[in-house]
Amino acid sequence: MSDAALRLIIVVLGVISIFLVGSLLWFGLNPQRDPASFPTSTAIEPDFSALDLGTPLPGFEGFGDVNRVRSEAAGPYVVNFFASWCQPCRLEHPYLLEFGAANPGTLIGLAYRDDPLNAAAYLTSDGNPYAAVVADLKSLNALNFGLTGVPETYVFSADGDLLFRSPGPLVGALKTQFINAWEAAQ
Amino acid sequence: MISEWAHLALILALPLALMQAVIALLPAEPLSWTPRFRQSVVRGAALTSAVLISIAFLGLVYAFISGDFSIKTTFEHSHTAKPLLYKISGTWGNHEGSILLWVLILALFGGMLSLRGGQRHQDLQVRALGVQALITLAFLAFTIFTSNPFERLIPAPIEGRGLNPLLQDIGLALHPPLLYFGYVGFSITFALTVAALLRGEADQAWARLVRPWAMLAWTGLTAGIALGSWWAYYELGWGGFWAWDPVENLSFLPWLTGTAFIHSLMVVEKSGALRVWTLFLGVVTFVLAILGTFVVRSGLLTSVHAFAVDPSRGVFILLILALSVVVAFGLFAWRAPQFKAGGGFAPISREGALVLNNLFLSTGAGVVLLGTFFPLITEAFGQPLTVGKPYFDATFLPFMVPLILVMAVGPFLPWKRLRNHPGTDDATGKDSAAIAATRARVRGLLTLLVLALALAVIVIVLLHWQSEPRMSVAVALAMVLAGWLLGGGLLTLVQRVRASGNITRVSLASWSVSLAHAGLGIAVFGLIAGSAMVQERTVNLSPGDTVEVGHLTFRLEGVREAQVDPAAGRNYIAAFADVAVLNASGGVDKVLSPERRFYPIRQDSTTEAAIDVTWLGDVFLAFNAQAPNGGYVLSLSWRPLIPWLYFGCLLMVLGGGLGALAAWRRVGRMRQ
Amino acid sequence: MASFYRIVVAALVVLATITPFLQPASAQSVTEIRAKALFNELRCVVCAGQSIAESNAELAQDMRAQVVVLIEDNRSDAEIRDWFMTRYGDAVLMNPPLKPLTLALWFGPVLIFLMGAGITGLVLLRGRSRLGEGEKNP
Repeated sequence: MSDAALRLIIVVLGVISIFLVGSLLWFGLNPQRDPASFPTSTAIEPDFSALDLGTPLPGFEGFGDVNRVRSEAAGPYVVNFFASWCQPCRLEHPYLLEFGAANPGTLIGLAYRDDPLNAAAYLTSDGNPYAAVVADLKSLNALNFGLTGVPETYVFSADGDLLFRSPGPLVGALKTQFINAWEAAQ
Repeated sequence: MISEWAHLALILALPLALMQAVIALLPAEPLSWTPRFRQSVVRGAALTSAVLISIAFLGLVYAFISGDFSIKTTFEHSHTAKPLLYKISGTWGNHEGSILLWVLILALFGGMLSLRGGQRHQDLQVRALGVQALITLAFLAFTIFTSNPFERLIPAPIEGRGLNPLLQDIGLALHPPLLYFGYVGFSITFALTVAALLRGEADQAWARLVRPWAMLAWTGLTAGIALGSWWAYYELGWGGFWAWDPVENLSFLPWLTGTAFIHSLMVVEKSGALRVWTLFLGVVTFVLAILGTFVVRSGLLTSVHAFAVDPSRGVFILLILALSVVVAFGLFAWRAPQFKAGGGFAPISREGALVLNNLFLSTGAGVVLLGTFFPLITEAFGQPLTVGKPYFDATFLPFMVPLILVMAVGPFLPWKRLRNHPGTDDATGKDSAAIAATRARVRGLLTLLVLALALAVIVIVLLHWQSEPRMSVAVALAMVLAGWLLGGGLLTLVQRVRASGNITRVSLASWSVSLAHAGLGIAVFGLIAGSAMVQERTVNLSPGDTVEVGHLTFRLEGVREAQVDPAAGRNYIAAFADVAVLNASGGVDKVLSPERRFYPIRQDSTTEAAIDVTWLGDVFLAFNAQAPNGGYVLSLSWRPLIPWLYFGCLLMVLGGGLGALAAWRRVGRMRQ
Repeated sequence: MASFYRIVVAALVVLATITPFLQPASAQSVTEIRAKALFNELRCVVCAGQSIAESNAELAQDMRAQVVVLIEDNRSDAEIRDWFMTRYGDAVLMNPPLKPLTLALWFGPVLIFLMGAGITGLVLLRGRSRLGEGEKNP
């Protein structure tokens, strides 16, 4: 092979690889991208069997039967993880109250790593948006739903398919996406 | 006022670097510059910019010490209630300051190159200084335009925000400067490589000239990585020393190619073979160093070693990276085909062993690069995933086994060829000579094998006697491998002592190779025991409880607190868990106090492990948390041979330093 | 050849010495050993790329507890990995699963090595042939 041909091959391969690597790194620099966050996916399959294992909150025993809400709704429903110690949860709480009032019997609340007394006190003082609410004491529901932090909100179709998940409080863009997903689910 | 002068010095260095690059790299003929004029101007400019940037850096250090909070960097990362050492090291404990440190080391290396280039290599030196000036120019522009450490705040705050508590540590004082010393040291070898490509000539003298710089950079990088690992080991609180985290991998990549580079340079210096490959490594190593800086500063990949990141700064470094890749590899593609192959060598020879060394090291680098960036690739295709420690252990370590096998044997092989038969004209004589040579070779290998087994047995028996640890056949075999490497290093020294007749007459270069190889052997012992034989328990204890971990028995004596006390240099609230190590009769051997610190200024807490270092291993205690039920969560462990890991690294650094000195002297001799 | 045999015998003696030390101590239960190995294979989903073995985050504690529960429920290691994978997706595994997307990841190292080995073979062969030339014309 002549020197010229060899050079040509090296240059062509070099240009292609520099272009590919460059565009990859450029993609990585996208300011919307947060490499530290765990990639959440809606392709997961939560297992609902652990919902029975939730502990009712004192004073909210009437709201303890989570599965009854699921079957009664017979339509799409929403699962929301919260905690009384969680500051971002307070950001979305007013919207949850509004949503719970507008869509009765569709919102399930699960208190993550929270003392049932504290969770109950939080709902008493700030209002209870949930049609059913229990404490997820051993975090079994949290793991079953692939929780990556609180608050986290899941929209399920009537058949139990996960349509949308919000890995943060329902404010701003996440709230808009949530509303769209909920309307699409109807 | 001082910081104004420092800022001015930094800004002046920019046009100076531009001038240096222009004068060094423009074609000489149309301008009728004499080589002498060009050399003196370029050398003067390199020295001056080293001085200017030193002034800038010292000015920033002064601002940190004196607490000049009108400077944004100082305000955000310093505080008057901070020990002096951390005020100084805080200078580079933030993005702006650390980039200034990078530029400082770059300029200092440039200054050094201008002093030690050699009269015989005037043209090479001038062009290398030109390339060096281009790199300095790029990073100076980056500093001044995107990360100016001297940016002012108006009005000036009275007090600073304080330094991230994790960084208030001796580790920060030493780790970044050494790591940068390594990274940036490879800018000189890069500059000399590009200069060689520009001239279309990379002869043995070139290799000899490059070697001291490569050895120096390698030594700094080795020390920097080892210190970083040590820092993570005692500061992060879970006893890990290497997690295959992206940031760790990115410092390891130039180390792997740099190690290949210093070895292939030996071949070029000896016989002129492997020239093109060596030039390639010279370019790649520094490109990987810039890649590391880019990823760290832009926060491209998930890492525990969090840095303040800013994508817009990332774009600038990406630009520098792209420019250096395009220019250097373009030049390489253009020039490489015209380099003629050098002298020949037999497959089983020193050259052959060094070629294999390069194969395994580069494969290792390729694997680490692939694994580190693969999550980014799949993320770009919308399918994020994780590539963690188990992947790297499974794919990287297998290539290190043959590397170690070759490494111990390599230094014994003669250059060029193995066969050295005196009686070629006599058929029978030739046979018997060949048989004798083969037998000597086999005996040498067997001696090494027995030495390896013996060393492994000694270590295993020592560990067993100390703590009766769990040990599998795989671990025992890995120990033999470590013994093979350590034995190879020791035998190399023995052989050189025999050859020269006296230990004082062994050359520096021989000390260097023995120390570096034996050091790695010792480190590998530590690596194996410290990861496969750890005994650890995380328990919830109340005062008075005892717990057994391996051969050790611990008792939690109590927990005490200490308040903030600026006079004692304590800008945090501390909680100590006093844990007694009990001996066989139940008496207290010693009391260790792992610590949790809360820094009120940053509202942040850290874990300070208590480590009892013995020559056979560390007793490592960490105070994780206060449990809700009133107990205390402690993680208690026995980590065998960890001190060997760092002692081995120390020997490698020593070996590297001696190697640099030896290579330095050879350049001096060549000039005479 | 006598020294030859001496060395071989020495090696055998050494090996015989080492053998008694190789029995694993039974201080840890099977559950503990399996749990520890699985902890290293699962990623803490609230941390920066750490495994749940290396993290003290609350969710990592939950995940560790769940691993132990599943082991005690007689699930195999593969089933436990699957349990987490259906709930968290592929990214929860520190070791990515083998599928079309990850073929390059898992076979890349071998390919890199084979390419390197090919080039190395050529370099060694060329080195040898040039050695012959050098001897002819010193």
